[in-house]
Amino acid sequence: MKNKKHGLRQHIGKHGEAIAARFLASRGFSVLRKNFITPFGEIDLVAKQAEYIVFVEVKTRISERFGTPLSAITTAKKKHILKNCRYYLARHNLCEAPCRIDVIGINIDAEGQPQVIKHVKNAIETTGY
Amino acid sequence: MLAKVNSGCVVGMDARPIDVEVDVSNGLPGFSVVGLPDTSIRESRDRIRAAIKNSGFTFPSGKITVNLSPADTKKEGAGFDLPIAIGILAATKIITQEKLEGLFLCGELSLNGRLKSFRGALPMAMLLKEKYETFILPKNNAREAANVKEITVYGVSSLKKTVDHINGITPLEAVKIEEKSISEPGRRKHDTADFKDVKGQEFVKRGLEVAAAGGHNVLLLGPPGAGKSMLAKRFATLLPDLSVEESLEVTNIYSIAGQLKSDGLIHERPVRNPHHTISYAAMAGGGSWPLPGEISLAHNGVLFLDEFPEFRRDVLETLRQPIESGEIVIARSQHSVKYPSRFILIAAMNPCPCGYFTDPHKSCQCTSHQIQRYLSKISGPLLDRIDIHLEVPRLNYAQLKGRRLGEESDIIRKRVLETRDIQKERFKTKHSPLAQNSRMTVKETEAFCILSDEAEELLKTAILELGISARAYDKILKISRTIADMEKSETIESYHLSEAVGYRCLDRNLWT
Repeated sequence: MKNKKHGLRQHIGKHGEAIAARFLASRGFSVLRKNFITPFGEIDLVAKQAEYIVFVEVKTRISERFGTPLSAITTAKKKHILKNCRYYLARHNLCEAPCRIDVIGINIDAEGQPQVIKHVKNAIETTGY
Repeated sequence: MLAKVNSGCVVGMDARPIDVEVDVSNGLPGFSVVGLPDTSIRESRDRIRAAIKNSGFTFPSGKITVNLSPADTKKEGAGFDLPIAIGILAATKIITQEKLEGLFLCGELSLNGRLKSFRGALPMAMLLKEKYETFILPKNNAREAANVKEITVYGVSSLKKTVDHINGITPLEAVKIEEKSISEPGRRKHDTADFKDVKGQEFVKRGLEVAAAGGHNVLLLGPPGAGKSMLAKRFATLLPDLSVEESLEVTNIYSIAGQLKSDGLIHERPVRNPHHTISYAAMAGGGSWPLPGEISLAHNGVLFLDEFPEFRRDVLETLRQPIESGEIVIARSQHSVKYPSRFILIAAMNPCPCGYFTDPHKSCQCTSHQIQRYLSKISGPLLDRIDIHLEVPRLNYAQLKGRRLGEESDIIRKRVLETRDIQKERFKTKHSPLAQNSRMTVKETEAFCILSDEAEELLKTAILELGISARAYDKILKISRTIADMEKSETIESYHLSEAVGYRCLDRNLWT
């Protein structure tokens, strides 16, 4: 049972990321990388809009029984995302480049059709005091 | 893109200039404040972000670093909201850096971009007037700071208005205080209470007049209902108006404590009347960033402590040093602050737990042990610092019914003023608020308290017969100096001295 669900979850995730990539492309972003793997995890999408490098975290949900897609971005998750983005920037020698981190939340129905797509720009920031 | 804004913060009675440097650069977005900010400054990030957005500007996406320099001193207060926000807008070229030269900004932002008042605007303006010419402050603080004539003060109500003013789009008018409000003696708050309301008690009234004239501390002793509180509350009406210098000192303290009610200067002598359940920190001043306590809020005024022995022991003992030196130093591990605390102490107490020990008509229920314990709550060193002890007897029927009204406060105050002028002349070289007989040093006591031969003889007898201590001897000299001044006498005569001895009833071992 658990294994089956695990497979399903990954499938939903992949499906959502594809929707998000199409969504961004339609908004004038050029998608640079999908699923960029880092030693700490992966970045769902890396896109470029004007001079900005935009890292995108995609969250997909089939029901809101456990909260909205955006509410799934917790503090721990944010830290993780920041770590991945730093890795990307360092790897490509882009530390001084203008960049930001966006989050896209997608609700899909049983057929896999997107119901709501929410795009929050500049959603995650570094902290430090 | 770098911007620099001038601001400052208040530590104790001092204002320190603080440079707010803002850098907006590329990189992962983030907003950090460095330079030892406290929590309220750290939290300003969220207020500033919302305030900038809600004022119709764009908040830059990028790495924002705010530095509060000098970096090695701790900073506190929400007053940095405005300078940081203006710095961010300058770093994003909404305001040009040149327009910020010589400009001092301070103020707290709310999420909708409105400005709120902050603590300590007056001391900031007074101490930083040499460094900056123009001060931009929240509207509610502007009049307070405008008491400093050397600077131009603008009062702003929101972030948007501030930006428009700096950019010259809608320039504001500078806040001006009419000249009269600084020199004109304020209306008396105590107008309703007057000494003439108190019937009888001529001896006590005379004692309080002496206290007002020489700045002596007073202890009122008497049974319940004798009128101790009534007398003490009217004591402030005997004191002369605050001088401009004193008024600035008092307003400064209230500004720092955030207790300034009106926007101008305080003209009335403060009268503080804390309840006896007061804590040590509230009395002396406290907090990790120490704020002035009751003794500092009573500076240049009256501190009235009713039910004196009911105060906690540690609270009473904290009074010792401030009474002596006229200031209190509150030390914290990081820093220490000094607040002035020159007040006249009026303490009121019953002679025993039941209150009727000295009452000729009602018998006392207390055992001698109880009385002893009650009196021992006031320590010797503290009692030593109170110059005048007055017994307030209960009035009999004839006195209560009597038509005769007492003297009006205004008349007594005139006499007090004359006596104070004599003292000012005597202590010419001293800072004027210190020119009081009660603040004479040992040397000055020797120089100015010249006794006539007869008085000398009387004092000798008094010391021998009444068992007066060395410290009490000193007090007696100071009080008799004041009494002699009231009668414009150069030397202290025997009747001046005997009156002074009469004000030391606790020395005469009545209660043993």
